[in-house]
Amino acid sequence: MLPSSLAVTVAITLLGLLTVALFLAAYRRGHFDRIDAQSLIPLDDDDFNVTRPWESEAQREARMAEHGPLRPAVTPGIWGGAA
Amino acid sequence: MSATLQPAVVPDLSTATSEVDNLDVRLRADASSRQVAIRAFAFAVVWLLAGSVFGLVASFKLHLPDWLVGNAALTFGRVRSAHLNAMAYGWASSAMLGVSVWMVPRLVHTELRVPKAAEAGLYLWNVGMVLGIIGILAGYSDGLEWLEMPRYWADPFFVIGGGLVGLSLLSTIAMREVEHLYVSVWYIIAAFVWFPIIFVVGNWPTFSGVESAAVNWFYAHNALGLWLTPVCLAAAYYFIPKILGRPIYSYQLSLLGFWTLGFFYSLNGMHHLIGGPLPTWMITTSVVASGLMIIPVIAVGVNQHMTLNRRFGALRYSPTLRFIVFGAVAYTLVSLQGVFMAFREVNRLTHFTHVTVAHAHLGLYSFVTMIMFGSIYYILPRLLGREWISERLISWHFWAVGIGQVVYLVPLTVSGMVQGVAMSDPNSTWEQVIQAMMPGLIGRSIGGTLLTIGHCVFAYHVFLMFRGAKPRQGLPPFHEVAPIVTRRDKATFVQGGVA
Repeated sequence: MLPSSLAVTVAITLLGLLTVALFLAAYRRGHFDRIDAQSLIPLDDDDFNVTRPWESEAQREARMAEHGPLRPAVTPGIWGGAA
Repeated sequence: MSATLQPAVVPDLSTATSEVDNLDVRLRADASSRQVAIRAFAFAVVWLLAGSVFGLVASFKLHLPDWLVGNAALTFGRVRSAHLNAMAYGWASSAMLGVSVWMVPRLVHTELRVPKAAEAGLYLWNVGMVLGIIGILAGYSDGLEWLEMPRYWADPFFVIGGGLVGLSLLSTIAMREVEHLYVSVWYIIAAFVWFPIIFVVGNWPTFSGVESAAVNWFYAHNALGLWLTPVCLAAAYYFIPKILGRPIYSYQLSLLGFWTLGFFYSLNGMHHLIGGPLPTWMITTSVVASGLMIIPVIAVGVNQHMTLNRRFGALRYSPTLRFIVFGAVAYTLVSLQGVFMAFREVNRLTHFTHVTVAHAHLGLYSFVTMIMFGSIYYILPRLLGREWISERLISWHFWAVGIGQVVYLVPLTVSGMVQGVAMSDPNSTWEQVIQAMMPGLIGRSIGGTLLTIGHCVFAYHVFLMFRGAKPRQGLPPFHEVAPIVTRRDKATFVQGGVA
């Protein structure tokens, strides 16, 4: 039984322990704190207040209420190009 | 590959200070990773074309077995392995290296550190690719699934090359100017830590017999789950919120998805050996772990769906979003399919059939490749400082590969099931089994042809971008914010919003 499974058992255990170590290190360093703020990391200020033509009136108003007046999306490429 | 350092359009900087700071950070981050990412995408596109040709030849050979049999390099066993390796390590991995070096500096608000190491790593990776593909075509395969490239000629280049890129990324993360790591960064860290381990274990030369089979499937399954999947999910978690202008629905769910992937996935590979001469506890553990994969899959699927919820109209505007959402949906589908295929009762029917081939393509193509296409559509214009040349080419690309996948996957899955039923029937002859598979094999070649056409369109568009061509209509395709993938109701739009 053991000869056919030893290598895989050791490798999987190693990967598992590595993941556990990474998890504990993340926990100790506070990476699970301030969760809501973390979700904003990829977004820059200019991502919030640009008019998005697919949004409904209600969604647009909600965006304005939260982020102020919206700017027209005149910057070329804002949805996929070189903005 | 000449490119200017300036973005195509310099945004208006006369806004709030924080916005200027944001923009400055973003531009510095992009500039630092620019050379490496551009080269990575160039290599990736070359491998995409090469892999497509190998794949198409291999596919046609399954229903035209006498075609191209005069040259040993073009026999099925070699061409099929060359296809798999060119796509998994050449196209997908090179693109992932480019996406990773571009995304990490942005997410940690600093410049890419030791970019020369990343660039050297990228070159070494691709040297390994060239040697590996030549080796496979010349008949020097290692004979292991997903590890066919010669162990001593090619594989060291992947370990050193990937290690150098990983060194650059981990140095960048260590020098970050944000306190927390976004979930995409977690995925990328994990991928670059997990890959060298599984690759070295998978290639270790001392295994033989049953143990070799077990180690092989430990590697092959984890190559998808612990290397390709994390980087693609990282891209999805970055681009979906970025384009929609809103954070992901639940950050807690995203973390749950990441950590459960880390804890459960590495146990999954042994379900490929159900019925094989391995200890029952080992297989059963793998089946249970495969079932537990429902947790990260549902977490990712629900999160991405809810982030996009009531904003599906965005798919008509952004090519990036359309490709990435396609890929994200495919991730949910392929993962759920994988969970069910791991159960013994289902595996008994699908094992050794073309259902497995279709399943692999749903993962490596519909999920991984579509997310890489979407990422490149977003990143490349920012690196080259100019817009994509033609919205029509983007549209052709999307529909060719979208329809191609349906034509490829559906007949192949159905005929694979028919094949499984026929093989389970002791009264069926092998000829009857082959006849039952034939519609699926022909559908696969037609679908593969459509995919290859889509790849040629994409490669031509990328070539035009590198050459510095100007948009034909005088304005870049995204000058107006109007639907670009479907042209319906485009006339109702005016610049900046809905008419």
